[in-house]
Amino acid sequence: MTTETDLQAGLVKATGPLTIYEVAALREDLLAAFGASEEATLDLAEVTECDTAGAQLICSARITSRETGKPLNIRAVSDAVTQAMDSVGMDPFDILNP
Amino acid sequence: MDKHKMVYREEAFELLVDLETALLELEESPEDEELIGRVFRSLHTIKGSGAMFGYDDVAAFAHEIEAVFERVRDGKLPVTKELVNLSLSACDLTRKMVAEEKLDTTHAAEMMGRFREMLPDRPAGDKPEAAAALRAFQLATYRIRFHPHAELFATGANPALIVSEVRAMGDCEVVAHIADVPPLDRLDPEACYLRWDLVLRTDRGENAIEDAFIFVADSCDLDIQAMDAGAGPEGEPADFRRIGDILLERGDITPDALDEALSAQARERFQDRGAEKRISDIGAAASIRVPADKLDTLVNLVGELVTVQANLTRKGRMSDDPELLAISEEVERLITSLRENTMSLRMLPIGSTFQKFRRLVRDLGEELGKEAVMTTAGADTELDKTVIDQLNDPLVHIIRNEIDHGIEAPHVREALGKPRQGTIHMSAEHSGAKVLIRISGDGAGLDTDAIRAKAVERNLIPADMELDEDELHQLIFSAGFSTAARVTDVSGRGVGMDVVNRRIEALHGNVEIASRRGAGTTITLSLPLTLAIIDGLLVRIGATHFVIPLSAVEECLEMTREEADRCRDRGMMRYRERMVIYQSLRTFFNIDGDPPAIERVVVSDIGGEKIGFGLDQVIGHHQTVIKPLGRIYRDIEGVSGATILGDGSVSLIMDVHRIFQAMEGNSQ
Repeated sequence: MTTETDLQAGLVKATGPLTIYEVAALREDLLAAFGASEEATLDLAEVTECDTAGAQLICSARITSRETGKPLNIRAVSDAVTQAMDSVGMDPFDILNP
Repeated sequence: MDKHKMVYREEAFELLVDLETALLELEESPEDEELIGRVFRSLHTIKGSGAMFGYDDVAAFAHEIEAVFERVRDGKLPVTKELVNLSLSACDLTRKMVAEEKLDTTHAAEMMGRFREMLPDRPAGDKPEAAAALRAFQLATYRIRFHPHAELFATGANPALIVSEVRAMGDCEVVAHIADVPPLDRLDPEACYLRWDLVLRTDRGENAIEDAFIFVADSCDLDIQAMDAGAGPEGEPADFRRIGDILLERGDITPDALDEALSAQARERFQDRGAEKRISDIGAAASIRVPADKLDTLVNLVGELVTVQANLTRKGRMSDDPELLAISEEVERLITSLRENTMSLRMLPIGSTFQKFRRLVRDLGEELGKEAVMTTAGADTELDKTVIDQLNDPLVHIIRNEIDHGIEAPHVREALGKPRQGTIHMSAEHSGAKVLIRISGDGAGLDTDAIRAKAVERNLIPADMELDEDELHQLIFSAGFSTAARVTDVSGRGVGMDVVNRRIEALHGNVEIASRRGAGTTITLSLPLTLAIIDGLLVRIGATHFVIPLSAVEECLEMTREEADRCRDRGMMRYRERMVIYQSLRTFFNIDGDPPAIERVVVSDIGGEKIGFGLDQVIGHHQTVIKPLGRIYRDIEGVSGATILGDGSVSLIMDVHRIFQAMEGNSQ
């Protein structure tokens, strides 16, 4: 996975797989984005593979947004992400576009 | 389908055939311990690799049979005809599971129950157990609470697979609870905070549900509750029962008789359907395994055939007999496709080897407190299987070394203005008759001062010896060399690079190292396409014949003597409105004599750089059986091997890459 970040704008764009191997790196980027900006934007359009750990991380980002009151816009989502959430019984709508 | 799964399927089908054979032999000689061992081992492998590749149902099923044969092996259970029959049916069922065909789940559960009956904690005489096994086939609703422990992900388990397996058993509602997931700042991203409640309506029984969770049993809390056991499907009365149960209750039959009748019925049903299927299965086997030495023999024979055919073609062209010419052309066409087919038999893409290292890079990084990722390129580059097999250890050593000595700790990297995460890049590409595998890391590069100091300390070189950078780099390939200040588990035992060098040399390849202090290190393994026969262009310079690998040829041109002289002076020529490098091969190989009035030029593309080679004559296409050069000739610049021509004379195979490198070296 590679991420592009624009901390000023709070933007994080993840590309490639988002699995147990990549979640730690994306967490760092998301924390930085939440820290640096009044709102965070996560672009998941280019995520090619997502496992349960990846879905859990996105979920945690949503919870962070709720707790801090800083909006989290998930602006594009690949099928891999929605499928990963669907397959473990998470509600993609609730987490991705509340 | 996933490549790994495909390999597993092939292997599983083979193992099942082996298992069947062993079982049939066992029926003839039930006391044979070696046969029992063979059955046990086959089952064990089917189970182990099944679990590894996500065939959890196969693994769970094989586990039961294995447990029974463990008792047989320990002499606690005799081999009976019944056991052999049951095991053979189990083979068929496993085959279906591996082929991912639709299963008669009732039958599978029943068979599993019959194997379980033979185990000590569920003795065959245990009637309530047998009755319970029958009841399990009824449709029932279960509430499953699946609460994984935090370390679930770390065990490699994927809850999505488990959940989908449960879904496959019947009507299923899945609810994931996300309430325990903390916000990012308190989140350990590799720990599992999710838990699940599932409501499943199935006829597979509680054991089958438990089996879905068999590989996470130690890393989760699992609670399975039957909510309305005994209720029939779609509003059927709750007291719906099977005929067997009713007969049993009325005392018409004994439980033993019922069990026997049911299993006989099941066996017949299964064998009838199995017999036809089995025949078609065998007919449809997609691949077979052949010992590697048989393939080697085949490749050698094809090589000889190619040489003979070259001779035939030459004779055909020289004679005026059109019939002979037609035959020789036909033979040539057939041999070309025979050759291509034969060569492809041994070739495998290197991608699977690369893939293995992704995990290694991650785990090593973690162990050493460094961050590293692996990127790859050219994963579909094909390489002889034996070469691929031998590459594993050298690559492990190289990657270990790079992560341990090369990649800096994250804070050091940040201070140096590098990304926190180090990158190990593995690439493979064909380069003429060789395959180049490069492993580069953007770490610290080799510390030549430290290398020199260590080499002196180890008495590898005298203290006053003058060495340039390259020569210093080469020292790391010496036996017993290590510069790590601290010996770690990972590298620093001082054997790594030495082993790498010897292994690659054993494969007739070589190792090159390029390193820039602070910027990183690239190790290039250059490996021959062993046993290769290549398509070549036969050319002549003076009286000497050379073969240029066709893959390196882009175009053939002509040039007048005057033009050629000018190009020779400048070292450049005009090609498609561009100036490109020109090299006279007559000059390069020091061949005496005058060039002809019209010179030929073969244009090659070397990594995007065009280069024109001047020569006397282009004779034509030549199927080239590569013969290695002897030890003495191995270091000749610009030549990678030799081949025998149709008339029995020897021709050298040009290595255009090396020629290009040598020219670059000269011009610098």
